[in-house]
Amino acid sequence: MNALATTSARPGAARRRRRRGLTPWLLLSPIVVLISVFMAYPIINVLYTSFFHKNVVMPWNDGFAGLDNYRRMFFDDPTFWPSLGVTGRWVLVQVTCQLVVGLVLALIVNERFRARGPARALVFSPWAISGVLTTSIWLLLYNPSTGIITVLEKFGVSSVGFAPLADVDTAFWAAALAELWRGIPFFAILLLAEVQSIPHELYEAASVDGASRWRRFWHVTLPHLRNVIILSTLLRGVWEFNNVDLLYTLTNGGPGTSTTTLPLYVAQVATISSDFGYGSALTTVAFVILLVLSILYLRLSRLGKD
Amino acid sequence: MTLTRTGRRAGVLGSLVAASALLTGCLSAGGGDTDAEGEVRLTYWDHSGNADESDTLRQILAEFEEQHEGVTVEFLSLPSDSALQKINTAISSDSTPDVSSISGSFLSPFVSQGALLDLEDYFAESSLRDELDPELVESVRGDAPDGVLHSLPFTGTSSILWYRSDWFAEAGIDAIPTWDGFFQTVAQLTDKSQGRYGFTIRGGEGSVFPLLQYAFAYTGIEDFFVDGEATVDDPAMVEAVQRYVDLYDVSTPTADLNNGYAPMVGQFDAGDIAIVQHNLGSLANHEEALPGAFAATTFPPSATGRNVVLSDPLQQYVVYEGTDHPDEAWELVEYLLSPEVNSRVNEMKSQLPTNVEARDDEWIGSIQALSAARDLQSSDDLAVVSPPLYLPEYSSIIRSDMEPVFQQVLAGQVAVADFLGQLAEKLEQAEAGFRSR
Amino acid sequence: MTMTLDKATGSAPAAPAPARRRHTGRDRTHHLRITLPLVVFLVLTLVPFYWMILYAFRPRGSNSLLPVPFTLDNFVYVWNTVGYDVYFRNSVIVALISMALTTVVSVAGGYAIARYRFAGRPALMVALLCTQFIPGAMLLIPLYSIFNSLGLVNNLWSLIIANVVFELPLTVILMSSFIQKIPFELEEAAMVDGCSRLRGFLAVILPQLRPALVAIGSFTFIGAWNSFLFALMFLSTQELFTIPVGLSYTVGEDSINYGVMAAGGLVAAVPVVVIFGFIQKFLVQGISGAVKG
Repeated sequence: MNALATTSARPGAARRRRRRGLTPWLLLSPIVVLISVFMAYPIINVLYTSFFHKNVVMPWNDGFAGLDNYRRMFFDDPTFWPSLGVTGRWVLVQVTCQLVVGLVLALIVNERFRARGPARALVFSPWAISGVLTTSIWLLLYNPSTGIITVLEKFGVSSVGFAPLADVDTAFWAAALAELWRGIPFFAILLLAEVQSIPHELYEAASVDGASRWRRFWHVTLPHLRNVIILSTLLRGVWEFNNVDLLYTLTNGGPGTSTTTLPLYVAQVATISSDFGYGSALTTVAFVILLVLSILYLRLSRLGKD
Repeated sequence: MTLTRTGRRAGVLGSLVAASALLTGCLSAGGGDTDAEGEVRLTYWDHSGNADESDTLRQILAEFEEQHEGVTVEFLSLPSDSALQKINTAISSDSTPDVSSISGSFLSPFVSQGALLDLEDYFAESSLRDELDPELVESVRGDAPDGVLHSLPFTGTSSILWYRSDWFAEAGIDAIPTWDGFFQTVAQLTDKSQGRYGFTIRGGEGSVFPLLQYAFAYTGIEDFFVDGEATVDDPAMVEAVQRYVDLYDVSTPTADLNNGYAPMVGQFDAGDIAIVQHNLGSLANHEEALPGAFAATTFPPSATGRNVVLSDPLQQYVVYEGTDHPDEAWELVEYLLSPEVNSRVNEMKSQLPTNVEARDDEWIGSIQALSAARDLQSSDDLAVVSPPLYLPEYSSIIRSDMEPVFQQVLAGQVAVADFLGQLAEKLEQAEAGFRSR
Repeated sequence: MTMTLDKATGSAPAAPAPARRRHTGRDRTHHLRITLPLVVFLVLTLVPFYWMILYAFRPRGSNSLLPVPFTLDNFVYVWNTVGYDVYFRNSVIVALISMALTTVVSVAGGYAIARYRFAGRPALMVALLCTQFIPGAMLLIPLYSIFNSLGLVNNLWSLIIANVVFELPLTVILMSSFIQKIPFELEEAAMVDGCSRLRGFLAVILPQLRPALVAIGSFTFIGAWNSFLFALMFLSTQELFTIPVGLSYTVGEDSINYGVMAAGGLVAAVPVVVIFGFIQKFLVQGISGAVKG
């Protein structure tokens, strides 16, 4: 993850690089073309469209809108502000829990024990599962007539007919749990790679000093993981912010708007209402929020410094 | 050296492009057109995506091909929850089929986009003019914002109450004569300890329309708008909806909040529910799951003593403006609506045919629910209220705007009066916009 | 590089503080510290999978907690009637082409970044990193318009291109840091022997990149296999649906037919879980290699 920070750190190799003018750009041309056409241009397009009325269902209404879309968003839309709150909560819960539990998991499977390989593969496997598939699995689990609840009822642990996704108070947490199920392995894999690269001598030195396991974790492991944690939490935060697949299929934002995140709301506006102008304005705002928060986070965490 | 290098690169790129060209053939679904021998290829999309029905429809289309030398029909089935969006997408990218089925609520958005062919002339010269139920034809004409005939209905349905006849018999109840009787029965048949619920509310996808159907039937209000004011927030409506909402989680399962039609009907078929409000379309499911243990009844009369029905959106056939073969496309529509085929399509869906000549077919008489619905439709004591399908915003108001709010009502976060007030305000705004155009 | 490969065999002392099981006291803490939490993790991970398998193989109406009696009806229905045979084929096509394109393009780009110094290189790196903040879901609308004007809507290429574009930035960065770690002297030696740069690359660098290719290739394969929102938006007709789209409709329409939903889920899960099982070790090593630069 800190590949970026180190790519230019090998002056010896760099000096020997050829300075042929066009070759590198020739090699990079597919990337440059793809990213400008399918990323840069769309972003500019979104910005532009956000100042227009554009709704395929009501073509007579199309035209320049000025700041109408933004006015509607900030003052007239009962969904926008709550969706921001839900997004914030979602990102915070996901990143924190995934990081903490992922780290614990990484440390556990880094220890030596019998059948470590298969055990790792098993606990990491939800990493490869898509949001939609996670939905179909957890729908089965949460459904009051098919779910794990039918078993819990028998032992009297749960009340009859309890439906976690149908309750405004529990739906958010039920969805969060499903996402954690496949999100924790992401951090665990990333952190395990990093934990394995900690020089053994560091631990030995600490052991000689008689440091407790906890102190070794605190003074050796954690500092070593610092940069990776900063970068991976940032990337994961952005990713969870933008994560639509699971919520779109599991709760579709409900009950009410209790699980409607901003990107999910954008997807709904785009696919159900076909209101592209307003959807673009929402997108622009989400993008600005994400960019500002990311820069702030990198500044505050002082990446790469001690 | 440099030359060799770029030469090889070009080779790699070249073969990629060639591979792409090859693959494009099989990676895209080609729209139908005329091919070299002058054969006509039509594309037909079904909007109600259902694996079992698709087989019957393919069969019907194959028979059409047999009867029409030189015409082939490509069949595609769209998933029902996204059919509207998919066809909208096709319209904006000029890749519509020639003919499709649609739900009544699609009509106005499509007409607004100028996507549908005007069928007036074709219809005037066709034998269908004397065969299709004239009231239904008139109602789809009125649903189009320009008042022109762009579609023809193929299925009439109506909302009814399905109930467990065996539970009713056990409890000594024989019918639901009044709305008070309905609420009494629901309470009486609820026994949570046994996992039995008197009723189930549709709280998820598609929740608002059935709610309004109930509310109109209960209150007996016979107009949707009065002088541009929506009637849905009338105090009588508030009272009716309140009574309905109060059932939630008392006489209905908690999970109702998320249920669209499939899980709702599924619960009834699983044997957990005494009464469910749905249309005729779920008959086949009940037949399979609860043979002989269920029956259907139309809504009880309203507070005014009259039967009031907020009519269900009709399923209809349309021909798209983009078709290259309007005549053949019309022939297909004509064929699909002919008495024999219309009867088969409706038998498959267990709904009422729109072709009057098919209405007396034997299979209808043998289905109690259908004949009850047919009898109600011909009753004198019936007032039919049409929802404002002509408003292009209608679907998005009823669906994306109001469904989440109704969930909040069920969860006790929003008052019924506020919910109906919001709904009325949005409908009135859309109505005013429509009138001023 | 060779170090990393050694690690993959599992012979290196990976555990920083291995618990030596000599005393029973040590044994107990070992169980408390490792076995117990590990079992908890395993149960939490596997119960959801088990539930899906249970419903997929259990006949309708059975309440047993074991898939006995056993039925394949759900799979037959999902495969033949719902159309998973078509979805599966489409998903394989999309995932393979996306994987191939992403890998080829990232090797070329990664090589340029790792081995050349040129004006605009730092700017390019920043730009690549910035793309990570761009929400794919939010570009749905303009991307749709672009594909529409290219005539690629309702065509698997739109999905493939979108997948490649959104996977590329990260894979290029990873690939360049892999290539950077391969000593330039190796290539130089090959060129002194009279090889062209391309030959040198093919003969010397490519074999060294095998773990990176496995990691990046499988990463993009799984990403493309799971790609949902683009597919939902760009593909209209059932003939072109990929597994996630098909699955989302199964969830929507057969949500009461639990066996069908579970069987569809299992069809979606098996390929990625199997691939993941094989490459999981490489993935850890691959990331580790890239991270260490």
